[in-house]
Amino acid sequence: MQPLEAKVQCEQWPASPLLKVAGLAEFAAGTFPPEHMLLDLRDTQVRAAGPALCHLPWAGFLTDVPEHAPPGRPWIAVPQGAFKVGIGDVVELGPHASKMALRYRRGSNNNILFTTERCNSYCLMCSQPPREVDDSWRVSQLCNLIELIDKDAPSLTVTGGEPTLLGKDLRRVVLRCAEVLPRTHLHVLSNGRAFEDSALAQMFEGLHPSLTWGIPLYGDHYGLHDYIVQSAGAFSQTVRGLYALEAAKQQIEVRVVLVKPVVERITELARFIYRNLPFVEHVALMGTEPIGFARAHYDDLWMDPAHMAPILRKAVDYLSKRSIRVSLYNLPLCVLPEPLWAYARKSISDWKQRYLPACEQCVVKERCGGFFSWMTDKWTSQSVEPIRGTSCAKH
Amino acid sequence: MRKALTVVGTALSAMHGVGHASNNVDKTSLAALALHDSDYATTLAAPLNLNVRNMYASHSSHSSHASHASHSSHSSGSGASYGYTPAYTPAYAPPPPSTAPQDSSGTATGAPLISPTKLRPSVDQLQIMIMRVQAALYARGYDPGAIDGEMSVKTKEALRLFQAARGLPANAKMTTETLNALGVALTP
Repeated sequence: MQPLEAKVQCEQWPASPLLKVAGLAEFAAGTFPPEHMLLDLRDTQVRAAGPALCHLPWAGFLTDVPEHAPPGRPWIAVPQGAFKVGIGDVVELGPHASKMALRYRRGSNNNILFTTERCNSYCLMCSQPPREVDDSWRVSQLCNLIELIDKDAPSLTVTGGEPTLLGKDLRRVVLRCAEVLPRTHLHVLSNGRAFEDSALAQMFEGLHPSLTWGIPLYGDHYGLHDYIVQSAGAFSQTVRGLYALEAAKQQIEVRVVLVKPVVERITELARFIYRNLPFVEHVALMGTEPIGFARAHYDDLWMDPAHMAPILRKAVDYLSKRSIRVSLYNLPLCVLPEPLWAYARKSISDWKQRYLPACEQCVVKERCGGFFSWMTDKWTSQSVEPIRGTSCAKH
Repeated sequence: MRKALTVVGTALSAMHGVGHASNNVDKTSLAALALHDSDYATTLAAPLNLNVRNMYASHSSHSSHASHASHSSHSSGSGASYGYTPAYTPAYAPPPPSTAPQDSSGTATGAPLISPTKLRPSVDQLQIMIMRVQAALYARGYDPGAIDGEMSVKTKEALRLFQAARGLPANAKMTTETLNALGVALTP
């Protein structure tokens, strides 16, 4: 696991809390002003470039050797270790402590725009338990962060908390992305309940060239869904929200977390989606992330993915036969029957993904998404074992 | 581009269907749908510097600026040991710190680094642009000499080599095509 925050040594704090790390190419491109960049003096090309480059009005310098920084200018020394910050990344400097947090990582498969810690649901398996805090300051900070993200970033995930609690401000964030990063796909993870108010959904019509809403649905019946999200009335709000989003011509993905009570009715849920929500572009069936509330509800939620396989296969077949795209997230290949491998995606974010020692001998390791780095034995399928050869090799 | 193809495709299919007047309504609505769909398609990246006036293109050399009067006035004590201080201050109107309150539209303000409307760059703008070209050349393995904002013999030679390698006229000028190939934007 790669930490996203670290203590740093520094002198003369740069004034701007969000800064992009620059190398020669970033200076040459001129996309971002030096005042919002840290020149990376750890880079040999940058060091060899000569002193004139250092005289530009950089916010500060990243260095291993503080003496490399021009005298009197701010510098930051990142400790050697697991925390990695590279050219193109955007970092945030804590206002008081000498702390640096990564807010954008160039080349990462999952960069997020974190909208709020607040949420209107209280899901049994929430991996990011909500907090009731006023963090509306995040909106303008996100707008600043968006400015510093690479224009060729393939995708960003807007998440929280519940992003729609921002109301109109969520529109502002999405619009900023459309203006500044028109080529970057946006994936907004929301429970969709707020779109019960169809006027809110309408605000997003035609706003962004490439945006998908990821909306969770946990059952074909309100009792099951409301139980999982621990909120009475949530099912009807989400279903009405899904229709409002469709009416606003939005692209929709339905996300299903594979906890025990949900898996038990997964074929019914698949039928519900096909019959009632045929406009859905993609259904993601996702293994549980063993962190946050999920750990406290182990007995109610855990089901060995190997035991899900038969019913999962039925649901996947049902949907894909009806031309609804379906994917399996967070499930290692060894716990799935081979016909389902084609649906499995390497979905776990790079910074929190790992393989087990057993994976070293596995022949399909490269195709496999592996495990969450906070996986424990309790949360690991009994069926995890290296695949020794594909079926072709066996015959 | 995708949109253009869609339009052409629809026009062709419409021609194909001449004589089937009753189909026309369907065709039009289909075309509208296809056009609408193309909004969601990935668009191809435009060249870096599209429709931007390049006021640097004529500067293959600017030997006079080394002795330009503005230099001495901007020299500060801290840079004196290098014998050369780029006079960047006037060219960079520092944008307000990002903590500053924003207007309701969420536009993060920042004065443009280089005004695209000007016909001739100021000495400082030119110097910064030459530095950026030098940095781009250096990052690509060419040797422009020091990254110092001087259109030196070495820099011109590196530019020519780069241009030749890219099949561009090897004139050592900062043409828009050359800047595009180097990944140097005219407007920040």
